Amino acid sequence: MTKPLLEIQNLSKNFSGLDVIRDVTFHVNEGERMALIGPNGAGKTTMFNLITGVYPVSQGSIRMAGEDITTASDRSRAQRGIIRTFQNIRLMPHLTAAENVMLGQTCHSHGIWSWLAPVGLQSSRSRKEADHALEVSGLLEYRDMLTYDLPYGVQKRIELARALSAKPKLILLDEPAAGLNPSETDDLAQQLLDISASGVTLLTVEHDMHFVRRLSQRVIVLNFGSLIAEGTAAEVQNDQHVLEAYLGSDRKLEEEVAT
Amino acid sequence: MSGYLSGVLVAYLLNLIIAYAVFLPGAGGILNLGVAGFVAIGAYASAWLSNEMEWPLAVTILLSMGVSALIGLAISFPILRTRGVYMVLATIAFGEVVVGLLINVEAIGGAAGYPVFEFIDLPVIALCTLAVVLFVVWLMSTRFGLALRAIHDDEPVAALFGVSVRGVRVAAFTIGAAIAGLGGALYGHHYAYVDVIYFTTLVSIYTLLYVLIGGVQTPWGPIVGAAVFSLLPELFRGATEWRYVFFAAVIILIMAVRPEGIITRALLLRLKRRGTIAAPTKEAAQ
Ligand SMILES: Nc1ncnc2c1ncn2[C@@H]1O[C@H](COP(=O)(O)OP(=O)(O)OP(=O)(O)O)[C@@H](O)[C@H]1O
Ligand SMILES: [Mg+2]
Repeated sequence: MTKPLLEIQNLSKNFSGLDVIRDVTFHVNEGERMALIGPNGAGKTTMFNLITGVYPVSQGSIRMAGEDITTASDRSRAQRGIIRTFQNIRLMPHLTAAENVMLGQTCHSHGIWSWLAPVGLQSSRSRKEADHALEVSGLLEYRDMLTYDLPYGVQKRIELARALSAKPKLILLDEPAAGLNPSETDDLAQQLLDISASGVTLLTVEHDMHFVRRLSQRVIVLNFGSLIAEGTAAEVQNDQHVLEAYLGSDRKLEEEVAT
Repeated sequence: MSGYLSGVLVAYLLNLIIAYAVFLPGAGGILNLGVAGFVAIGAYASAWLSNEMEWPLAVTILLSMGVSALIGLAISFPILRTRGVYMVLATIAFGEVVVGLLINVEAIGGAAGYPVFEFIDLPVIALCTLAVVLFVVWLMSTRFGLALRAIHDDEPVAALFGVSVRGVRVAAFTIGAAIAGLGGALYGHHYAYVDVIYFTTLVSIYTLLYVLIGGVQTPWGPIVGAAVFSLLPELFRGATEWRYVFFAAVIILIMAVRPEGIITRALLLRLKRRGTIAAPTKEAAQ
């Protein structure tokens, strides 16, 4: 299982002169659980935005399953199995939980008939799949509720359910444990391990190092847009460059170990 | 039915059809202020086809919807490139261009207006309206409708889950144009006369206004919005001079109290939930 699924090659991004990602190269293997960490403003979310096609890259290339997707549209990347969650929850506020989950299925809708499929009917296949996905995540009771006033933790779980309903090959999780209490975090870690066991590749941005240790086989560290370390969680935590990077930031690595 | 009642009803139904023409793109976050242009195209196309070609009404109406849809499709590409107030201005410009062109075509009466010989009455208009309502309700319950609503809420995220944002919006705009064409065709055949002064930007503005008042979150919004707009002034008929002052005040009040429209998704879900709570027998039996 050492075939690379996602390959990032000499990637750079600048926003009107400001270098946010600087010449970053790494890859994620098929079936791997990898974490991407770094101090606030290091460029982690920007990296996700580049991988999913929200922003065009300034330089470098991105390959998915061997194919160059550097200039592919956001939509076609989703169809190739790259799916994400968001640091700030981005559920559709005027859609119910079930409809949000059904939206996830859209990247596999091809042809006129799948676009005219009656997803609004309780008996439709899409709806049944969505209900099943919600049930598995323990969210069935919320299925017919609009998502905007649901509790934060519930919204995060719906976001994950939506991402899973897209049947991703690679799932990018932007701080999935942020704002969750310890028991919710624990449940999430277990759920992500199960997802990984089902063959999905994970790339997770997370500040909680305890969570990262439990979840990830390999960790890469960004600082000011540059890749400064790579290794197991234990290795990067003792890396001199990483310690220095966090020393200069307002968020200490030790604190993150503590949480 | 009295002439007055059927007159009000026809006006309501025609307004409702045109409301759906604005609702469909509106559900995807597109503000179409050029709908009167499509109504005019449908009205003149059907009038000309039935006057000059003497084809059956069903054919001329379908063809006029097709003409309106084709023009809608063609202009949707430049218009959907624009955003916000620019989109509003682009659609207004479209409506003005249509009127400006029609007024110069002598074959359809030019500035003098154009009489329409074939007559369509209330029952046919009611049937057509019903068909439009059912069609839009159905369309909004498909994956296409889901995608359209997702685009309205968060366009970038919709794209990240595989929605072809452009394709869905073009389709919504084009289908809206076809519906507007239908409204226009019925209008011409009912009033037996078409004139560009009936298809001004003011018509587009009013239509968008009552669509927004009804709400674009569900396909039931236009039914209420068009009712407020078409029937409310009739209620104030007694107060002749003050009629439109009352009317405007009510509109402003509704917009202040229900900024997302009278009929919202949350409202419908609340009513539905209340319905299931009121009828608990099924669960008790299990
Ligand atoms: N669209 C943008 N335009 C300009 N600058 C941007 C844009 N997006 C991000 N940046 C800048 O890029 C840098 C990295 O931001 P990014 O959100 O990727 O950091 P992050 O590592 O995810 O931080 P955090 O841990 O706080 O989420 C920041 O300085 C940010 O201000
Ligand atoms: Mg971030």
